[in-house]
Amino acid sequence: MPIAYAGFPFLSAILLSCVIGLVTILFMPAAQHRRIKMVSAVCSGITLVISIYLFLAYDKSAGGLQFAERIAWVPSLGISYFNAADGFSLPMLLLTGIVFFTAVLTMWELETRVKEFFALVFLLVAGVFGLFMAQDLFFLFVWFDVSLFPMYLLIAVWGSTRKEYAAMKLTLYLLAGSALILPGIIYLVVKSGLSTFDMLALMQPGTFTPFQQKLAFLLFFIGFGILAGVWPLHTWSPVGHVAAPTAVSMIHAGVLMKIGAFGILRVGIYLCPLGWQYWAPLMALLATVGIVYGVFVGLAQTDLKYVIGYSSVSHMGIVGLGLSTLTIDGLNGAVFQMFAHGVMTALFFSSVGYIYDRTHTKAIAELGGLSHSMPRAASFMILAALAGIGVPCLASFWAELMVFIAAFKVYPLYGTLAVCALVVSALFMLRVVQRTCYGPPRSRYAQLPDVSFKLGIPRIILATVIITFGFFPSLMYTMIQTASLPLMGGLPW
Amino acid sequence: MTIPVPPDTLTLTAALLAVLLPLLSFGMIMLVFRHRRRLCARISIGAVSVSLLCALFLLIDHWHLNTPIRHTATWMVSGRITVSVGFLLDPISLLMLTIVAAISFLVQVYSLGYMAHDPGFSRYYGFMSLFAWAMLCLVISPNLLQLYIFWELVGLSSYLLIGFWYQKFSASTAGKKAFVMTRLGDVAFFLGLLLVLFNLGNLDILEMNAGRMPLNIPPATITLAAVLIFGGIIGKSAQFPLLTWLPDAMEGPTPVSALLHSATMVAAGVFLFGRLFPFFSQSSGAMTFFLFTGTTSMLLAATMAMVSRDIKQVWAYSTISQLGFMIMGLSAGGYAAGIFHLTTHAGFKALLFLCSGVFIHIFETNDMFAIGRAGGRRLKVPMACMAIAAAALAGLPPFSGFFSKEAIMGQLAQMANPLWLAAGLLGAFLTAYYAFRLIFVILFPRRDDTDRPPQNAHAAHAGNDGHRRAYRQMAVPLIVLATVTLVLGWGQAGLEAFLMRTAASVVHTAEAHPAAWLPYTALGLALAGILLAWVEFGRRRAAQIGFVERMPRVHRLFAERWYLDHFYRRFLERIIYGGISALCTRNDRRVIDGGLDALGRSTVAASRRLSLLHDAALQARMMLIFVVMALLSLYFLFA
Amino acid sequence: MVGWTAFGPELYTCFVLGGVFLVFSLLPANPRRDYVTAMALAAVGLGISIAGLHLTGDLFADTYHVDLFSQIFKIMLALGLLLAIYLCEHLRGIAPRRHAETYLLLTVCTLAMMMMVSAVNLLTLYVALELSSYSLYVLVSFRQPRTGGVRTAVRYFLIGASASAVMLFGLALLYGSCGTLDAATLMTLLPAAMGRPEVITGLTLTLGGIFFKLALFPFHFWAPDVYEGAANPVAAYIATASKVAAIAVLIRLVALGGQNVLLARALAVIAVITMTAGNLTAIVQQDLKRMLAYSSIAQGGYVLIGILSMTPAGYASTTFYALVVLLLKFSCFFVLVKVAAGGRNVAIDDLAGLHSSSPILALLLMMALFALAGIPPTIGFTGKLLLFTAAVQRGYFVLVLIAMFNVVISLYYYLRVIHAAYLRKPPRALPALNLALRDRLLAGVLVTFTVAAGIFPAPLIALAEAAVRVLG
Repeated sequence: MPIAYAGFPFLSAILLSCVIGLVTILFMPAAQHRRIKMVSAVCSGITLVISIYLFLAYDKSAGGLQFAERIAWVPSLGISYFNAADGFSLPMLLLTGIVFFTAVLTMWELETRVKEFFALVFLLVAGVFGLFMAQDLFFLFVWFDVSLFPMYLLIAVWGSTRKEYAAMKLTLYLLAGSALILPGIIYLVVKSGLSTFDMLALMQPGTFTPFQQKLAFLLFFIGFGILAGVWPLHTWSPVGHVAAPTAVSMIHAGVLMKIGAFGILRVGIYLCPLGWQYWAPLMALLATVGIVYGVFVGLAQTDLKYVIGYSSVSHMGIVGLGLSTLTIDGLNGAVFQMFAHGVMTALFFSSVGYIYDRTHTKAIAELGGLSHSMPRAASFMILAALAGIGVPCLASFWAELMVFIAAFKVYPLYGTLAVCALVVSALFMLRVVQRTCYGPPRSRYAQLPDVSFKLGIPRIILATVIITFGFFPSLMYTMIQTASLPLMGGLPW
Repeated sequence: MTIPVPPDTLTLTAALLAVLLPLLSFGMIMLVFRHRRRLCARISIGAVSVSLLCALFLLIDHWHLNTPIRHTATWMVSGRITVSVGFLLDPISLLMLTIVAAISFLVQVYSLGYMAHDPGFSRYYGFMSLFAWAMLCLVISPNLLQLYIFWELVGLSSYLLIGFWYQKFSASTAGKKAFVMTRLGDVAFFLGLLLVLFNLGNLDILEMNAGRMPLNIPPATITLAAVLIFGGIIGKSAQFPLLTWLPDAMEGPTPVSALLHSATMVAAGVFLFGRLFPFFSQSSGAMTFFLFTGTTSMLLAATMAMVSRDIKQVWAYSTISQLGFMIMGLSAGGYAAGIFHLTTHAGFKALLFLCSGVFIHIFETNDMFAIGRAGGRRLKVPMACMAIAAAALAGLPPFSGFFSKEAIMGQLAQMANPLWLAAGLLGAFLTAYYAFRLIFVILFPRRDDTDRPPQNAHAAHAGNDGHRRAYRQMAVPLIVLATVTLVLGWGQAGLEAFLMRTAASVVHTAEAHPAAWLPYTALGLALAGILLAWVEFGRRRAAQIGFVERMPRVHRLFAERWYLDHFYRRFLERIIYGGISALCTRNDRRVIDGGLDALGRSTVAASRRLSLLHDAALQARMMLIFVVMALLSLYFLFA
Repeated sequence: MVGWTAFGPELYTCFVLGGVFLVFSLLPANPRRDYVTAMALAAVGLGISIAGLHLTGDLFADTYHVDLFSQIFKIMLALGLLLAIYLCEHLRGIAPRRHAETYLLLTVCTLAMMMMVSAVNLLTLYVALELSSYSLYVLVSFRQPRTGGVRTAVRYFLIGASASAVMLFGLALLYGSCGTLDAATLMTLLPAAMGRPEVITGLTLTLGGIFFKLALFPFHFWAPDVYEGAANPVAAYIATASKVAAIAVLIRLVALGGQNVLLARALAVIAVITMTAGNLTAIVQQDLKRMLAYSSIAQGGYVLIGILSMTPAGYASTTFYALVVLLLKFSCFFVLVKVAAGGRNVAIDDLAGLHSSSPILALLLMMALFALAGIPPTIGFTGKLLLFTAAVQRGYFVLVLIAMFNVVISLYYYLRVIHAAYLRKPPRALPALNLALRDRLLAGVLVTFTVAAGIFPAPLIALAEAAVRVLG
């Protein structure tokens, strides 16, 4: 794989701005809420700008890993600080930048323990960014865990609805995943005989025997799969989504679940292609069950956030289905779906969060007629719901299209089932929209203010992204192709 | 396969203008000018009128075209799958383009009056533009995927417009129902599309129609693909069994019903049939299935229309019925006949709705008896126009419906099985009956003593200036459409020749030579229907009770839409909500989550037990030390 | 004279520290004087140990070996002593007149441990081990009220005595079959002789004495009682310095046997039982020190994983992990001592509101616990990574999986503590903890080191690898 080293360490600059944000906030007086928020907005804005720049500056004709930086870290163990971005990681970096920035802006009204909140969010996001750019297994795992453990406090302190239970469950469950990943990583590193954590070196064909690949891939699939919400390991996610505060739900469903899928892709598929092929039917089965199951459980939910939580399970199932097809289209669709779902769900959670902040309820039965009192908030929610249904010209459509095309070809039965789930998905999304936004105006919500311009900015950004990539999917697909084509060894057929 | 040619600059510009302006208008209205009502309407109408002009220009300019014109650009590429976007101009798309643009334009003008006082005026025009864009792009799609994309978008705008009055719970429910039911069909469509994609390698409509496929693909696959794609048509055109969403869709504003749910959007299904006619005709099994579906829908919907009191619902059922009739014509092999009926139907059905809209707007009721009692007949223009349109619907000469219906009847007469023709003729009778039932009810009301003289009717004539202007704004499109209904029939020969121009090589329509008795029979049955309606509703002493209403069980059956909705509700409640969904939810809570929690609990329980062990007496602990060490020694001894 | 220089740290500890406190214990009680002197002298002692890092040599008829390995551990021990003394500032759990004696015993114990890590004759080792144990028995008994302290000490002593008995029996077996207790000679003999049951049994039973120190199954029963019953600084000393010494000796002893599969298997079983029992039992503990005791037991299990891989990498990782245990356990006890009012024990619930009464302590506690659970980017993660890598290299993959699941279990009770510190509201509003500047500085240094050493572990790893190279 070609590597282009960066003249300027852009990738490290992203991490650095997270760390600077974290440290600055830690040394600021806790009472200066406004300043802390400003610092957060600026630092997260820098990460967004850099990730947009990288997305645009990536040389698609050259492909491969670009903006690479490598420093030997622990030479005796073969650990190096090795960051680089390719067509798979750049969409994820962009997604993280977008969701991070918008999440910070969404929490502009936070008043409790502001300093700690933003500090933890910075820590979490640093981990996410780091994971998406890491090319070294050691650092990849470090970032993985760094992005997980702030979740405990973020949910348990600032959350709602059974927050302590949810936080504990989520943390233990996800770390149980990492309890599989770490042995898997060590196993591969040791068995390679190269004593290096460098993924590029480990990725050479013939490094691992088929058995080793099967074993390691299974570990990675389960370990990362927990985070990706693979059925039946998904139950932490709706509970966690519901309990988490708005920004954390956004980051969580928007970015964190993608880490799981990305981990399967980056570690599992790249290092253990034979294991991937071997386990693909299982992946496809679980993904399909997840897609169908998610929509049906979502149908029965009475809590707004639970509905979105289960729709995430279903949508992440689509990612899994794409990955399991072993085709370029499936991979393309899966990665695009990761991006599209991230933005969509972030918008969804930010809208629901706003509604919850104002009405103090998430129960669908108690809501209604919000299009009257807060038309803008309702519009954002409707847009998110439509994106979730897979309406054309919104980003998710293209992702789902490609995954379904690939899935139908490789697994006709699963593909058909997944496509049929679209109907139920439409049913429950529209049901939610109808019960919350439509219907006669309710007097008790009549006086509630609509989304102000300031709070509207993050939502407008997310909506713009959804629509932009809906109209210009090739922006994303040409990027993803640069990674998926070499991975699959050129064009099929 | 005819090799398409690229467009010249003028054509390209006109086509792009025609389809892109409404999108621009949608964006501007929704994002920028939402608070300026009048400007929104102007932008939208301006955009659609340019579209109309471009469409007319294209139609006239290419009236004599011999090869289709195609222009495509790549939208996105993934692997070997290229999604392209562009336009294909051939007779059917040119014709449809003009119909859509024209009716959109007329309806939008009409809405100036109809929606004048609605708080969601700008939103309405925004959605209308969205619809116009999606529909125009749909009809010119050169490939099935683009068609599918805009097919979905059309469904979306339908959802938004049906639920336009979102404060009405029934409206948003109807919108949801429409979306989900058409989605059901669309899923089949999508699967069929994938089937074609994998067998043909691409989704180009001309290639699908070229008829080269049977060489390498088993006929069963083609039949399956055709039936699946037809699923989309069933959903969109509200055919049996997915027909119940359309009457509910009447919850939307009446102009929306006129535009989307009678003339254009629901006709997209039939248009798709026409579009893929050569492809579909490759499978005779599938064609028979389509014929059956069309016939069933046609008759079922006609029976439902016979008993409805809601003026819009009658026309909605009628739409289903007529769409079924078109599908009958198409699947009987009458390509030109089917499309011609689509054209004429678009005109007179839009007219029917718009006329009804005037009544509804002024009398604020949907009930035809109430409108009649309120003095509906005093509104001369809409009353006359509605009568003309009803005559066209019933198939009376010299109105357009007569010609197109006769063409389809002729086609049905060609079928070996006479049952289809009989069904068609029965349909003609029923159609005439329910159309004129409505006309007579409004025209010859039976006054109750309790009724007060209508005030709004007076207001319409002598009332304030605003109402008068609204009325006038609504009347203009009516007159235009009525004129079209009057004259379009004479253009039959020209239009059919135009339609067959590029399709002749692939559409092997046996030239219909209907028996001489057929037009007279059809006409006679239509007249019989009208006569029956007159006897029951029109004459002075008529009780205004139809013969169906005298049979309570049949009446109930028809009024309850043959219990289709009951079935769906049951299905949803029992199978979806009460069955699968509840099962999955319980599994999630009890089995998966419960299992996890049990794991956690048992860990803690184990911990408690171990903790007790650790508090055991000192002797026991020391015993354990020696036992363990002894065991270790033994292990080494024997290992 | 060179030989005596090599003995420098021990000499200093023995004569200067020991001498001074012997004198002090005879003088009238003066806690402040004792504390300041102890801090100063222990700091100098740490300096001397560091200065002696690169000393080498053999002493006392080759029964005492000074090399990089032993010197590194001596630094850790001197550090452990210093830190333990640091916690004795108020020393409320022990009567003021016994403070000087406490410092004396701590010193003696440290001296004994220093000798343990250098001892290359198993008899020397045994004597040093007993000396350190006896100091601890007495230290534990100092806890007020004395009745409780003595009861705990007796229990401790009884189990310790059994362990000694087992160890002596093992030594006897070894001597009987090999004819020597000299490590260098044994190292040449043992790998070949390990096939003989009495040899391997002898070695295992000898290890029993160390198992006791490290609180490994089945010798772990004393730990919860002693941690709970001992004065807080003493418990801290037992949890840190004492563990470090035990780890060093364990490495030396196991290294004697070369690579023996049978022994490794036995150790693996012990490791699994130890960590599972430790982690599982810790879940329901209410007393923070008891919980830390079980967590220590579990850590002992992890340590064993590194040792049983019986490779230089395994020993190096264990050496690294010794430092990890020292620092992290100390961090926990530091918080505990600062929170404990009047030298009492601390229940987990007592930590409620720590987050607001002292953010830095809460942060330190959280970092230490996450590090103990092996969450990156902390030193604890690096330590576990090294341990597990070494084990996987020898094919103990399943063992590593089990250990990782133990880590997940352990996270549950660590999170309980963090939950109490960060989320629980105290029943009554607590006054802000009055921390001296040096306390805050120390906490800051500990947090920084925990993270920094996790991110930049290379120098420490290199040192650990160099240390085990001398084991041959």
